[in-house]
Amino acid sequence: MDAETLVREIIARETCLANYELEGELGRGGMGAVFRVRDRRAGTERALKIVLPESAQRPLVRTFFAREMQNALALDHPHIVKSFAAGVSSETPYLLMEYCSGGSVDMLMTKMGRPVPLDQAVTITLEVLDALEYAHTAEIREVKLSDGTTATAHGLVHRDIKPQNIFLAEAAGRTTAKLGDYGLSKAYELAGLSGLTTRGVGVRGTLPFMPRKQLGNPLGAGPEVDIWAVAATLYAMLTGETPRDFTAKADVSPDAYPYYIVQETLPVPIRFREPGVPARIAELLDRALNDEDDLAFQTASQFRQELQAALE
Amino acid sequence: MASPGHIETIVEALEVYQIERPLGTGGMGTVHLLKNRLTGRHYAGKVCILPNAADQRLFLEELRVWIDLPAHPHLAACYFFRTVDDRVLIFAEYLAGGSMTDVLRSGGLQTTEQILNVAIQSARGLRALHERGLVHGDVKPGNVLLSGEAQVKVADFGLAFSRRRIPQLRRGSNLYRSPEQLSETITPAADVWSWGLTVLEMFTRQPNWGDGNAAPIALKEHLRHNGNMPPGLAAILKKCFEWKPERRWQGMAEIEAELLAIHQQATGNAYPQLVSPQLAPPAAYVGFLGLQDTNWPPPQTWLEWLWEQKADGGEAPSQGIAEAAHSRTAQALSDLIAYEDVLSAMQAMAERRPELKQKLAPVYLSRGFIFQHLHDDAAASQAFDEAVAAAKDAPPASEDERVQLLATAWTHSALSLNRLGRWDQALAALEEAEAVCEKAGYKEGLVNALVLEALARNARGEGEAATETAVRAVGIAVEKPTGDWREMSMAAAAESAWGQIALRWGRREDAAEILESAIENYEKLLGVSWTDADVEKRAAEHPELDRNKIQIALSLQLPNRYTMLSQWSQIASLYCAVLVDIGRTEEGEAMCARGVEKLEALEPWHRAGFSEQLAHFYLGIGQAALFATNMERSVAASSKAAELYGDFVSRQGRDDLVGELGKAYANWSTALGRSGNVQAAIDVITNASSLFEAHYRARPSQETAHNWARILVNLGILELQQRRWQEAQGFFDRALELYATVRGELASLLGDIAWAQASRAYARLFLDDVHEAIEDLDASVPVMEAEAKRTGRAELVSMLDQIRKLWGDREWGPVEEKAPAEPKKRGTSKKWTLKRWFGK
Repeated sequence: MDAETLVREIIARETCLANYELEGELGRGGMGAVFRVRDRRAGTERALKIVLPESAQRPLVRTFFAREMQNALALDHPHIVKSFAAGVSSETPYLLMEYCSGGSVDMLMTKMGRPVPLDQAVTITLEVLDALEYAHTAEIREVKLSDGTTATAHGLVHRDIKPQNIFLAEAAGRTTAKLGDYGLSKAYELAGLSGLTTRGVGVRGTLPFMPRKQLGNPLGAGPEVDIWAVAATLYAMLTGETPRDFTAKADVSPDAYPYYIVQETLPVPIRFREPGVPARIAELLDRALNDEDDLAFQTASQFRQELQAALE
Repeated sequence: MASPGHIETIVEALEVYQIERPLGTGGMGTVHLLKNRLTGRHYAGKVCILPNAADQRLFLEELRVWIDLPAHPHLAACYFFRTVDDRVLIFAEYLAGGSMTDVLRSGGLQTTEQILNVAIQSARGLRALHERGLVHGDVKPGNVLLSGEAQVKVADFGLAFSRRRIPQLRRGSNLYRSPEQLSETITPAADVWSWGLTVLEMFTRQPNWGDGNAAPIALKEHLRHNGNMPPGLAAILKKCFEWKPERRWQGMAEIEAELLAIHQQATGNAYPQLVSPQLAPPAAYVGFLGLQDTNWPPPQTWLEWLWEQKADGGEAPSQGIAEAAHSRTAQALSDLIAYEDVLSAMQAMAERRPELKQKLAPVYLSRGFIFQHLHDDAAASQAFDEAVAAAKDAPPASEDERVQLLATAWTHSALSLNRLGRWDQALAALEEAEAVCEKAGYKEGLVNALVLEALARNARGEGEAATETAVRAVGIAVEKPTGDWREMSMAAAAESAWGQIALRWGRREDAAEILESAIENYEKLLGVSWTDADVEKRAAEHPELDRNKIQIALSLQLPNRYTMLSQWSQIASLYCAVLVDIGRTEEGEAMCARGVEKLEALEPWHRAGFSEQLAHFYLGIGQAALFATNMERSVAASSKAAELYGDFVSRQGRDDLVGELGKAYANWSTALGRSGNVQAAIDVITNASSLFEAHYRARPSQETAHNWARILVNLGILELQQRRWQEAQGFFDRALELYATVRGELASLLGDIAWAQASRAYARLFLDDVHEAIEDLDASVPVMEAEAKRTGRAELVSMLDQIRKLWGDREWGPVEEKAPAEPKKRGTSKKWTLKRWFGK
């Protein structure tokens, strides 16, 4: 059965989706696919994400998706993609979410074909930081622990912030950035207790938007790795390149190459890539992205304040 | 993706194993903890699926390397394998402590000393692998096994070949992979990287990194937040995680030296040196095992034949494994590989030249012999079936050849089926063999089949039919003699079977007489047999002839020394048991001592092929010495026998020797107990008891019941020695219950039962159950008196002495019907002896 038929069946089966109709496919990833659906009565558009059948068999994928559903439903913030409903429809997990008509920041960058203008990039960044400030302290009820019990956790680390995971919603002529895809997020307060160890996680996330320490000890990754990734995303918006040079020559096998680059090279100072970046912004980003030792920024508000100060 | 159902199907097909639990899952599928229900032994079992000939060959090549590894204190051994269709189940050593992953999870390995111990021993294991030219390729905590006694072994149940061959399966251990793991030919340096991560995990307690390639930063992160790693060790790991393989440590020896220094520094003690493992004696020659002392021709003969065919446009096979093996098992695997090559080359040629199909059956036959030699009986019987099918599909040109081929295939298939306990199938195959032999008047084949039929029927408890069949085989063997050595050999084989059957049904005197005749025959045959020396002599006389051809020519004219020696040994040890049982203890012991002498005199390579017979002889000596009350000699011989049998049972999966192992334990513990070494006796007998209990429960039979009962009696006696009367009585009760289920007359059964009952009387006296004690004595004393007179068994004599001291010359039993009903004699009531049959 193709994914489209599957989605139609889910819509027909689930009462919470009763008023929806399928409009088209938005994208497809390793384990899931996202469709655009429309509420016939209200006229609103939504995104419906499902886990594809071949992946739905795999326990790890189910765990991730279950976690995304749990975390997403727990979060309510103007700059986080809102989730409305979630469930498992005859073996297929699904998640009904807010639809962001502007696509992702990644798509925006491709569309523009050049760096994102400074003020637009900074606006997006500040909005994402706003979302993080909320998420890093949010209360998540009923986090499942490995011993089967549940607990309430405070603070959720996203762990996979990158241009592909920041979406743009367009409403009333205004564009709003929204952080999405909480599939890898983790209640860091309960790190190591929530059943999933790195054994299951492996290197998820995306190496160019990951600070070194997250690679060496993902379990110990706190809010600071999200800040690093936000800074890396801003860097990418301003230069069109990732902070580390993933085209550098190195005498290692292709499989090991990205790991080599993360561990053996430092981010390229932003003005080497884009001399037009204002000095104070450049200084801030270079400092934020230096991951040789402890990271410079531990909280979203700290980074937001300095970013705002650098703009003055 | 391998279906998880596979292992269940295979284990079910193998019958004697059960799955206890999964041990761990890697990229290669799941390793399971398996238990042999007959022996109670545990193994780590791993399934390999080999859908085609190319996979099969690669697998065998790799398996050969692993099986040929020297026994090493820090390598978990690969013991044996069993085939079911296109799947192979590998049995490897299992350590009860679990893997490092398990130990870390349960909070073990906390101190620096413990961690260094694991690091050093695992480094030594890897070093041994590397020195043998192997790369492990999947070093990880799950493959480092620990015993309860801080013994560490590197295991690999995946077999490196499969990782090289099947790319999608290589993704398994990404958490410990080296940078070059997936993309290049890996060298020992890859193991160095993965070993480093394995050691790091003992400090981080779990893999705190998302990928093996994150090792450098993982180490750095750990060191930044924790001070628990000795600086020297951190430096070692740092150099393990160099991106370029050539910049890492050059070999585990370098690492080991560093570790030893750190250990000295951290603990103040020098770490014990590795006692260098003993290498098995290398092969006497490079090449093949065939024919010298086994029953398949050397594959060389076929390879050469195929090369000649190549001139006619065929494809030549590859040359097998041209390197000497250190073990006979590995050498047999080399032969098997060569035969696989022969087979595929021949099949390819037969496509174009159908007349070559005739040659396939003998090749299948040889494969069957090799599997049989490796005790993979399921695979062997399958190969023999294939030989039958091939012989029917394309019958050999000559009728003689056809009959011989079919008879051999069916008979040997039956031999394997017998060993698997599939009597009905075995008898069906033998019926086919007998029919084809009878029709063609092929005497040798008929006798062979009848001998096996007799033994199969005997094992099924059909005493009369077994006897008749054996007697018929003897009759056919000796009728119309032509003086050929083969007739003598046939007669000896048939007599051997007959003797075994007679013994099984209590006709000890007859058995002794029959077996004596068999032994005489074998000794004559040994006198004319050919050996290596004859081959060398002829080769010197005829330099134009090749040694293989000389061997084949010789084996057509004369019996092979090793085959004859093997038959002789088998019967001699049996004969010894009979002699001991009928009171000719000294003769019996002398017989076994001669056997030991003969076998120990062989060159190491050949002697290795006789360790089973050697064990039988030691068992015989142990038994005889026990009856002759020479406890010291019995302890020495019985412990030697237990060691040899134990090796067969554990390392080669030889379920058929469990009974012998138990007997060796039983004799050993009895001898220990009677020489006053009660604690050692208890240790030994506890082993024996659990072995026999498992055996009895898995395969209840008269023999297993008898064996277990004997052990229970021994346990009871040891309890008596410690004045624990109640416990002792419990053991005797259970033993007598078991004895009650034993029909027929196994050797020394009557004496054993009486002995158990008299021993119980002893316990009952101390428990003040005087009436019941008297009942026991009434039943047992007369039997003991008769048996003591007949066999002179020392323990019976001394028991009777004691009773006489206690009760004076009181008359015991046979009051009323209290005496244990003497089991009815089976078989014909006529006196059957050799003379009766040959006297006509």
